[in-house]
Amino acid sequence: MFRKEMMDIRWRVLVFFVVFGFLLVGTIALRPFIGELLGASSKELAQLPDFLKNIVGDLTVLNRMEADDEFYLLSQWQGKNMGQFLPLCVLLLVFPLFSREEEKKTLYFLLARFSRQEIYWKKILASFSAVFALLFVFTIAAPASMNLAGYNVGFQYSFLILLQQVLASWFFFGFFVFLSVVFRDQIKPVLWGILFALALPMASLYPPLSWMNPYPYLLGTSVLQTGRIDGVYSMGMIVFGTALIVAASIIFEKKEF
Amino acid sequence: MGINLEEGLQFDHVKKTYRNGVQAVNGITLNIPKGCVHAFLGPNGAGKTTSLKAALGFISYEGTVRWDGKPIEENRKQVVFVPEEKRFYEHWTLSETLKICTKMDTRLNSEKMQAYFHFFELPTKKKIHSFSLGMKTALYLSLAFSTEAEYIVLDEPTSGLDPIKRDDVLEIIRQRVIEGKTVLYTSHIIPEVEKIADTFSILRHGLVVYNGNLDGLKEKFRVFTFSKEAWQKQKAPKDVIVTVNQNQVSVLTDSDDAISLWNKEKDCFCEVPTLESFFQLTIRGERHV
Repeated sequence: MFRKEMMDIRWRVLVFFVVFGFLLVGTIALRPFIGELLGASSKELAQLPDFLKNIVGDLTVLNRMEADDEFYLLSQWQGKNMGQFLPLCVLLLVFPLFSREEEKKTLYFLLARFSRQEIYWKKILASFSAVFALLFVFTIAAPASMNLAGYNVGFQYSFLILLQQVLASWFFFGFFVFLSVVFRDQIKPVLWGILFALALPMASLYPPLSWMNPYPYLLGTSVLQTGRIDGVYSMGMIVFGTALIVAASIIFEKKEF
Repeated sequence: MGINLEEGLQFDHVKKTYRNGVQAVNGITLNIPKGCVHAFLGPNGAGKTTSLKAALGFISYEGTVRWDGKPIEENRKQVVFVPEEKRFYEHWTLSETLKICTKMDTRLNSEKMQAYFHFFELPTKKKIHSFSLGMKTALYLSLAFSTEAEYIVLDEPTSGLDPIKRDDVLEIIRQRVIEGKTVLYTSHIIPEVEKIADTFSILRHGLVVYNGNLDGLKEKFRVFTFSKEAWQKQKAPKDVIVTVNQNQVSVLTDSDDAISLWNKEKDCFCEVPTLESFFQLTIRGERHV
């Protein structure tokens, strides 16, 4: 059944490999131009009045990005080009997992042959393996490609951000699986998934709920700032993600088809 | 001789009420012995598919269903199912179906499956979304017939098939029964059921209104046809099913008293019911008790 699930998601995974491949090439190719641009910008921004400097934010980040190839890669690849697409990527891989089988009535084929637990966990395993493979390959590919392009970049921080991105993906994965199990068609999981991904940073604009925005964690901001993994947030991602996966398995076990 | 509850399929007071309040199955108790074809007959909404779904564990229900004395969860490997809606993984070709399904379901015999694909003349290179309904039915049947499962559950298994292939499928079903398999079957096509079913149940409003075999039915029941005027002169007898048409009244009964009384009556016509007439009268008629 694992093979069948892989067959089901192979084209979507392939599309993500191609898209991420292009993005990675672009990120590395633009390094010299971005460096020059940031250098010029930081000099101009330094001459701004203080109140405008406050709006622009920390100028040392721009200086660091200009001077530090590794910081540039981490912030522009895992912290931007790849990182910001992860929730969308997880949503597109996960939303049809159960909802399409139910909508297209192919679930009967599986239900007649396997226990519900077997169906559920094999689907979870196959789809999360695909998410992990994408993350892992493109986390390694980025510093490796930078080194091949003649820059001197280490792997240590990439792996720390990878760990955070795997856990954040697990959290989003749990929520999207939950939607896929709950709804009987394919449209609602997509709409609710997008709404959820947008609602979290919106909710965090209200200061007491600022912790609800998972994007700084997902993009590795704390790793870039402190050089360490955010332990508390990591635990939160594991707990919420796992709770959603278990809740969805209970619903799937009891659902009528 | 008592019924062996460790063999065959037993429905024991099975009830199913959906959340919207619709009572689809209203207390079915049935014993289907091994090695036969048992058909569920009934109009739309009678509870045929719901009964099958309950038996297969697709829905929750009250009561119990046992396959050889075990719940479906413990006996799933001995059951294959062809659903009412024959939709399959539409982006697969038949060769992919063969590869993936034989890996997924170790009960499937690859050579048999190929032979059935060939028998049903299914194109191996085309994607399944281009298949007609009959071809999708043939695909599902090929999957069901390519295992050695003890129970073959078929929900409308000839939908979309041409008459030649339909006869061939009935022949294959009979062959599987000769090999000792048990077939549970639903259909709207009564001549088809008459052709292959050893026993059948007629369902109406979620209840089994008749359960038995065709010979027993022909032996026990008679249909008397009266003109409306002649029927009005009759005393209302007990335990008969009465159907009033435009000019005549048909009465189905297994009451010895009624049969001997009306056999002497000149104003009526007596016949042995066919499955078709029995089904029509049972579903359309009104029971007088």
